Amino acid sequence: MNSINVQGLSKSFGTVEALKNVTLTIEENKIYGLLGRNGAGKTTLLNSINNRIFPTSGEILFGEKSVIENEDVQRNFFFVGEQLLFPENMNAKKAIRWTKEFYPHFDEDYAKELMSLFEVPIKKKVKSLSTGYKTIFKNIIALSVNVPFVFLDEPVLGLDANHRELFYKALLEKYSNSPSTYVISTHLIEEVANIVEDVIIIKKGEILRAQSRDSLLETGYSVTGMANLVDQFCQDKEVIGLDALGGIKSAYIIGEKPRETVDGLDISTMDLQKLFVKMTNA
Amino acid sequence: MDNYQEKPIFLQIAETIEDGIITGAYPEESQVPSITEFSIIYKINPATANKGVNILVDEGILFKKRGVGMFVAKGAVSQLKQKRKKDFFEVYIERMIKEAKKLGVTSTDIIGMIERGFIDE
Amino acid sequence: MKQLMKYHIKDTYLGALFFIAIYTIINFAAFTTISVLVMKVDGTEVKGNVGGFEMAYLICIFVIFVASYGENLRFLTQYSFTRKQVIKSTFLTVALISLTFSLATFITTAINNAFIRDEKFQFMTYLSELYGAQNSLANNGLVTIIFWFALFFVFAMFGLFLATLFARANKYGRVLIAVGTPVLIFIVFPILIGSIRPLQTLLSNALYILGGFRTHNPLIGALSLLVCSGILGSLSYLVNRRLEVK
Repeated sequence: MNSINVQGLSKSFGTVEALKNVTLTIEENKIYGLLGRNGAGKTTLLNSINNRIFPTSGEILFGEKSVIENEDVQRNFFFVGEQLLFPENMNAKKAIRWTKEFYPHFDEDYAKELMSLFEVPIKKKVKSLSTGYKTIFKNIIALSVNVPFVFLDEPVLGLDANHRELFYKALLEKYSNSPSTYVISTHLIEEVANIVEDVIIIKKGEILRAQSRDSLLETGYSVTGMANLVDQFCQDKEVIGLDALGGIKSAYIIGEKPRETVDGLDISTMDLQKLFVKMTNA
Repeated sequence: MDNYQEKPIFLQIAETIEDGIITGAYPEESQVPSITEFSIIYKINPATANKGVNILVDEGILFKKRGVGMFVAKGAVSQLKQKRKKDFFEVYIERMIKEAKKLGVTSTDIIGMIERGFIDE
Repeated sequence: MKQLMKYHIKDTYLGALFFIAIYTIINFAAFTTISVLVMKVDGTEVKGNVGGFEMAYLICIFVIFVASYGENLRFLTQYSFTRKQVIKSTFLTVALISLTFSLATFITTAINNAFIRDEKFQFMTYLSELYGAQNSLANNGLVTIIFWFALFFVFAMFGLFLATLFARANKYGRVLIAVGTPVLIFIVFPILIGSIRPLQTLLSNALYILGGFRTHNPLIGALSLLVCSGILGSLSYLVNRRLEVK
């Protein structure tokens, strides 16, 4: 199976540069976390890959072919964004029927099973579902569609904790049994941190990081202790953030974690959310 | 799974399985849960679970039976106990001594505390 | 393409068929009532032609495509189809519905006339009004079908074109189109024609020749309508190509 190759993708909406020279690869059968603050460009990137909007410059390839206006390529992708693009009068039941019609590997039974597990009112019009149920509905279709690349934009938006947990479990089960690539675009980094294999961090339209989660976590650590000791330690280090409370200071550093312990200082790994926050602050 | 702990998730997985083996939850020559089950229960990426399991496979603690699953190797318990005993000093003692020094607790104090601890048990 | 047509048929075509069914019933009820009443009036002075009921189909087909294009484009793009495929299949659907409406018009008229066998009364479409009641071509069934097909087609294409512009425009553009189109057609255009003599002459001459009135030939008219449809279709295609869907 081919990978999606985004090369030098830039997108402007009028004077606003939403994406600047984005280059990255999305490989098959991996779970990606697409992380970025509000307005960073996540949705623009997803829309570009899925033939919803056109690049201002650069290209997006799948194999040798451009993904733009190419049904053969787009059949391998599935993406329902925040705006559910379903006709006003289409109810969930009909939407399922058409999904089956257009996507030959769609598992209708599995979808129906999940719909009833989550108690989705399938006779209701898709557009008139509550925020939570819209999300659940989207997710169920995404998990049942069985295409190589599935894109999820904020898949837990509006879901209560129980449903969030159910979703992650369903996703992991699905992924384990029949792998595809899932690109999860989200703010809730803490929750997806363990689920993703690779991370793409996007900041103000540019790719900050695109690597495996484990290798990303190894690139940073935090140092806590008395302020003067911390300052001394940090002199030759790349510090990306500081927290201070009374006389105790915490410094967030990009670099290789020191092997030996340092007297008076607590050295620990940064979790993904902390790393992300410090990297994307201002 | 503890997000804030020092160790990467895959190491935590390996340790959890080790604990299960040592305590007898996973007896020798019995089957342990599959990668899929681990990933779902702990809500982690299967690749991560796989990494953790493979550490134990490489160490000979677990072995894979084609088409069936993963099993605890014979002698795994004693192998693990030996390894843990070796690490005991580094993992527990060194840290304890560091903290003790911070607080001004002497080695005599510590020995007394340890003896008390074993009696209370 | 086959699946796309399946979608269009279920989505718009069935609606059109439903409209035909309802409208035909109303049609029969209304006009046979009228003709029965008229017939009951004694006297040979009563002569009449009743027609024009096909106007409803004109409005209907226009509205169908104005209303459905945007939604369908968004839905089908979301479901991995290309814009090119969407518009091509829409054109095909336009043709299908135009033909169906055209046949419905023809059959309804024929049945009405068969039902009311009376010299002094006839159901006819505006075709005879336009091209002369004695015109053999205008009374030819096939010609009637072709002409109405072309007229429905152009109305649909016009609706589709407006829909593509609408989809492309921002919120101000949309207001402009929604308000501007009727103003342009019903106010600006008539005023221009009425007040600028040369324009009026030019337009009447063009209409006279291209509409086939000079030659009393509805087929010329049909051809002109189809050419207009082609132009509108090409424009729609071009706008459709660069539409952003989100």
